[in-house]
Amino acid sequence: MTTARTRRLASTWTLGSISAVALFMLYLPVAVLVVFSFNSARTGAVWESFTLDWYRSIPDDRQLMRAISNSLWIALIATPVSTVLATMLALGMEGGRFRGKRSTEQVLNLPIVAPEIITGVSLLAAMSLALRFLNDVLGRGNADAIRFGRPTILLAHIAFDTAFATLIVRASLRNLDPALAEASLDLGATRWQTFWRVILPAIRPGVLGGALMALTLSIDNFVITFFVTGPGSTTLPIEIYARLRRTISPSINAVATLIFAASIVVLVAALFAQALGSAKRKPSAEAPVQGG
Amino acid sequence: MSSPLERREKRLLLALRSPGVLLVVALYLIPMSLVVAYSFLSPAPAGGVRWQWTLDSYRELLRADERASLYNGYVTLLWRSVWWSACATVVTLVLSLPLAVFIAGRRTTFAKNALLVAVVVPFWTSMLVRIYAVRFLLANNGPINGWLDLFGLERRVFLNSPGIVFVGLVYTALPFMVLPLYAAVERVDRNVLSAARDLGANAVQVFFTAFIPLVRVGLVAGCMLVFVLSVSQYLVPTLLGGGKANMIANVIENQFGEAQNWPMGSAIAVTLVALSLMGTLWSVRINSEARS
Amino acid sequence: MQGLVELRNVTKRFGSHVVVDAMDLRIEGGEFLSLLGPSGCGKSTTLRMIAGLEQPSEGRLSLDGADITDLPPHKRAVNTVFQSYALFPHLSVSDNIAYALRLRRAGRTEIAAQVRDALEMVRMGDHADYFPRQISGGQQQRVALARAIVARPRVLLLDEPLSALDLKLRQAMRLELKRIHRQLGITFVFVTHDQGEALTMSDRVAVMHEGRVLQLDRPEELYERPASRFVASFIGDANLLNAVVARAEGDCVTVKVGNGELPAKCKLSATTGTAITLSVRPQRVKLLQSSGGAATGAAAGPTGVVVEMTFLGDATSAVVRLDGSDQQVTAVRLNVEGVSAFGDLRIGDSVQLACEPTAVHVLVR
Ligand SMILES: Nc1ncnc2c1ncn2[C@@H]1O[C@H](COP(=O)(O)OP(=O)(O)OP(=O)(O)O)[C@@H](O)[C@H]1O
Ligand SMILES: [Mg+2]
Repeated sequence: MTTARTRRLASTWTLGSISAVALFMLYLPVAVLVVFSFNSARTGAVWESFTLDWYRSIPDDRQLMRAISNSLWIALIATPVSTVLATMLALGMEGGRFRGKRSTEQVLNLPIVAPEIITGVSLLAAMSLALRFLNDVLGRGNADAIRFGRPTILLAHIAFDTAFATLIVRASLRNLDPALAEASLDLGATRWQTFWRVILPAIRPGVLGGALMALTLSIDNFVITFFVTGPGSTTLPIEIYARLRRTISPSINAVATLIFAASIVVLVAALFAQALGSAKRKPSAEAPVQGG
Repeated sequence: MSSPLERREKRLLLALRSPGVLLVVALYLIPMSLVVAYSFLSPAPAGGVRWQWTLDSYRELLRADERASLYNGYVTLLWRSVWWSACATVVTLVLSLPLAVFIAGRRTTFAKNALLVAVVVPFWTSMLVRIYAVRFLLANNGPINGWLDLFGLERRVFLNSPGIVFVGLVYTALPFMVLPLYAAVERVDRNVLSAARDLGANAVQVFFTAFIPLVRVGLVAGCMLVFVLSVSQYLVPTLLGGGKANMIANVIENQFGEAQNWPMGSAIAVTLVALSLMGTLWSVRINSEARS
Repeated sequence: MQGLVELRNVTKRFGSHVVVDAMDLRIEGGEFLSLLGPSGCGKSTTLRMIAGLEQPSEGRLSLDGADITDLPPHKRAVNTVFQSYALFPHLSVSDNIAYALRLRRAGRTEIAAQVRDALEMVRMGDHADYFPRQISGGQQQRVALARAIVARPRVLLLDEPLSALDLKLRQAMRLELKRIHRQLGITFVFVTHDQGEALTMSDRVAVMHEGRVLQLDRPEELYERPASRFVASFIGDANLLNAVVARAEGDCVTVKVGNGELPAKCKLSATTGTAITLSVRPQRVKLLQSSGGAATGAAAGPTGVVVEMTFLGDATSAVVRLDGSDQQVTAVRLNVEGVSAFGDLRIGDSVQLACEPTAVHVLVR
């Protein structure tokens, strides 16, 4: 008896300590970075004193602010567009069987499984060709040619945002009882009314989760964006990357901390939406239940 | 044969999924096919291609050269990327498995969820920020070296070495391994393990004959994910290796950028996809065997 | 009367699998018709075609003479009570019921009044503000019913609405449904695989098997005069015996079963020597103790040995193996004051079978 118990205790301790080491490793760099973003010293080797200067300097950094506004502009357009596309796509894919479903699934899997570097160079190759063709057709010369920039980044972002958001929306559609939509049609609602009055309220957590996913992917993406960006359309990750290759100013630490904080806020929002969704589905404990 | 109503329904679903599918076809399928085509063409002097079919890029790729650099010795480089990624996968697995088991073993939902969120946060945060945090921590002028100073120890150079690239691979991949593993471990029926124990198996035997087969699907999925992620890593070798420990993605980027040899870059990209595909097919085979 | 549904030559295929096979069915306005059959025989599919949730591969449907085959579900004056109830989880009970009325842009006061009436009708008046997850299965079922009738459809379709309820509730709801049917006076089409449900509630029952209607009749007719072996075995318990026609005299035939003969009323002109199947309800089988002197009427019934006696609570059943054959016959008698109506009959006793001619039903094989 006791040996079994000590053994179990020992194994829990071993597991626990390895887990602790893994989690410590996972968090140490980010935690140190966050702390040192408040360090007044210019190098990370010494801690001088607490300061908010690096955060205060952000608004004065014109280049950085431009990168932030580019990132926001792209994310704020890409997110709603891809959420709508993803919801439509999810409805179209889950609505029933059709010819070519398997190959369509495989095409939709491409953005999920393709390494980012491959997506990046493919888009570079294809968009160069497309832009050359477009400029030829429109007869634009070197001066007024359409080049890589915000539109190309936006297109690329909408594509991968849509693919990932679709995963989430489809999962929540699959959990939906098909009889709900049928009941709505049966009671006299058109398909359009059924979508707004029954389907959307039921899959709202999934749609919201998809939108938050798209938002985060857009704001964070570096590799793909790197290949389709152009002069004047630098996004925040690209600006940070460029600065890392030059000198490191501690203001980068402040920006990185802000990005980290923003993703946690979005994550909490997403988890909250999920919890809200599942709480709605499960009967709550306090609900008055009476025998029929 | 089908009725007007059914035809209308089919058309509606087609209309719903068309925009999304077309988007993915236009921005993933066609560009990737283009890259495959480019790999068989000749380079144009200032980037781009000349439409002249040749196998030159693949011949160049296969030319063995011991001095692996950005411009030659692709085989060495490919081999090194695959080898590092495989090793990183194994190390990540060894670190993740105890963590996954530990999380699944928690009794209260709160402890479970708290630990899961702890794993999801890094999974969700910007890869760039996380890698930068490692670089900041280990920089010549970084906090670690500061602490070494403090204890009167000699400063060390951590960055720009193959070792630190390897650490970076494990660090970035950890959350991607824990989540699928956890999902698999959570589903394991504890009674099966106790039964094996009752039948006289010792802990090691239970682990290899009962536990591992039960979590195999999740384990293989996690390994595949991590391998593909690592073998195509761009940011880790760039930011932590500082050009001294390049991987495939660096060469691809270089060929499409500075070196202006798109066909060469395409040929390497095709090879990378082939390698990832091999990993995927291998995992699919292992998992279908597990099911039969 | 409104609510006349007609199916003409309706076939439904899923791929190459024929689920409903060239069905002709006329459901009279205002009647309570049950579709009864084993699982997978196409009952739900038939119902869903009437609702418009499934389109027939061939054939036409009409409602009160107007063709509705190509009408989408929301344009049909037909509502459904789903097996899973399909209440909208994000709407309260009263909002669920008001759903159809709101779609028609009815006035606010009118909606409130009609919702209240519907709730009263299903006796759920004090649960208007609950959400579906807060009420029990039986209550959800009532709400689903109220939701389907509030917009005054001409036909109400019910797909096994009682199957998720426990036995007691199920029996109470049978009476409720009958009452509501009488109050509304609209057509009810009720799907079930429970013959008790079908027989007790319906004006007429359509027995389905493998996508076809085998027999469409009033419950009593179905019970007393099943048209086929399948119907006889599916409706109630019936002894199905292989027999041969011995003599035919007008509408009365004598058939040979085991080592004896039984009289039967039979409308069809069966010739001597025809192999047939007999259907006899267990309640109508008489067992005469052979030792007590066999009744020697026009026909001497077959003899057999009691192989099983089972106490069923309010009745007792006896299983008899016929002599000179491997066929078995079950007889059931109500117990009188807890005493077996078979008297001192024991396992192993020899008995002789007898039946009224009207109790023996001849089915052509
Ligand atoms: N959408 C569908 N696709 C393919 N086959 C279907 C579909 N719907 C029903 N079927 C098949 O049609 C047959 C009849 O189904 P249906 O639901 O009408 O049976 P049922 O009589 O209602 O049975 P139950 O009592 O089990 O509900 C079944 O074999 C079923 O598998
Ligand atoms: Mg059914």
